Amino acid sequence: MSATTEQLERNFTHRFLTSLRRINSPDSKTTTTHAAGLVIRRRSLRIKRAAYSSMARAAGSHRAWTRALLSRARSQRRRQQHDVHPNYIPPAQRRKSSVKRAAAAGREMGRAGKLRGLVPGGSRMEMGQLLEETAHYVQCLAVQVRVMQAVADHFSSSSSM
Amino acid sequence: MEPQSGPGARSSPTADETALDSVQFGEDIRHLISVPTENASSFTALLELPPNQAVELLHSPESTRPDSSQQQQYQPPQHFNAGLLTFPTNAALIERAAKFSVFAAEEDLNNNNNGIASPETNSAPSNSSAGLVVKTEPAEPVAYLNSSSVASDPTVATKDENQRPNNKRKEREKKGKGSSKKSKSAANENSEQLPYVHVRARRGQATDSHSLAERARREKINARMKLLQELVPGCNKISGTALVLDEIINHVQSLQRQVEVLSMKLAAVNPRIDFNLDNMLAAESGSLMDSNFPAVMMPIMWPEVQPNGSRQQYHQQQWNFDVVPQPAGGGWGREDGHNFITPENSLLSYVSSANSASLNSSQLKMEL
Repeated sequence: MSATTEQLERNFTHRFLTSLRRINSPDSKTTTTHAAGLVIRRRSLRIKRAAYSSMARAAGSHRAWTRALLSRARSQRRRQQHDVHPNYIPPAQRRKSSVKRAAAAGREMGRAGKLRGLVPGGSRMEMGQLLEETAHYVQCLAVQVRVMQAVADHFSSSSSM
Repeated sequence: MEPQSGPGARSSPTADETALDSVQFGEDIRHLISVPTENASSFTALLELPPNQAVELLHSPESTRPDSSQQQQYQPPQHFNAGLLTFPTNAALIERAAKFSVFAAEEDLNNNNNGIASPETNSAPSNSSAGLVVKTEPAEPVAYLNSSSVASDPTVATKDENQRPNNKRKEREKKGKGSSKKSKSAANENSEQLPYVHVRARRGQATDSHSLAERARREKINARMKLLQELVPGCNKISGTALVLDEIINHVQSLQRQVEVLSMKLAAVNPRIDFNLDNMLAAESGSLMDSNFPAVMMPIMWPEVQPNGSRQQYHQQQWNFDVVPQPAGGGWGREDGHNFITPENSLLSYVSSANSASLNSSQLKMEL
């Protein structure tokens, strides 16, 4: 258990720092053309996405939530590649997803429904699987937070020096 | 009513025997046709006796039967010896049980009790009606009989609410009894199937497949919930599924918020430290490794990383081959030198070579 956690941590750190490096690389359109606040917001969004997807990759594809996260990230990337606003959803898809979401919410509006919303891919899961995936997800999130905290601490300390 | 039981019981083996053996067909038919009238009379005589004696007689026919000579003469040579030795007892008991359970309103209640659940019947081996009684749980036969008498009596309209599950189960057993009247093999299957169900369902629990599946699902959910309870801090003291779920939701939400905050922090801090990210990487991986492992373990850890992303590793090595001949003019060369110079990182530098290799690749992408 602890060995796998350490391996997960190492793997995630490696991936996350790599993607951080890529994000921090002097990317022309993000740094130059926009205002500072917007840049920071976009950057934080990208960092967050990178953190989640590197977490999912580090955790492996045998979990449902990692697959859901990665497929979501893929679809977002595709939208960005097609030069559409990342939050834009085509109307047909939007209607379908809203219907699905309403059905899921109608099924269980209580706490389980909330949990479904929190765990990626949780709306399609059966209750037992949802709890199982939640357990794994919580573990991975804890590792992620720890590593990100360490990275942020290091950054802030090195920047203050 | 009673005289018909003998021929009815006798005529059923005839079909089997004709199918099995055609050589002694005529003799068998003659035996079977000639015997039943006498046997039926003996059955009526048996039924007139008090039940205990009747059962004893039925179970040891050779020793105590008055007309044992007829029985001996009636028995055919070899092939269906065993079947017919046990069959008369079965037939009589099954017929009686079925009739009494169906027409209990007309019969005497005492007779009913004795006929179905007398202790001899319970202890009788290889008896299908005994098997039926054994299937019900030890404390049950009394309640079962009571409910049967209540249910079969048309005048009694009010049923006790407590007895409703018992009634249901009894009706199911009645069906089983009806099938056992038709064939002995069906009764045997029934008595074989029931213990399996009893393993899964405790007393008073439903036994159909849907309920079993539902119970299995609930058990699974409870186990997962327990696991989650151990994972989430401060959740052990809470009891109750709803509160635990609340706590889990809060925990997940707080973790996600932390990730968001940290990414904001990283984004705000990032631009200034772009240049020494490599250094940071080495230090970061070093600090993580250092806290987890002693320095001796590091060569062992190195291969551990490889199976995780073998394709990526391959890419990294390719990049390494490309990178090494290059002059150290780029930013990474300087940082690499910085890596080696810093005292606290020098120990870990080759552990982080995996990281730096991949970084080299990303840097090369940047430079190109």
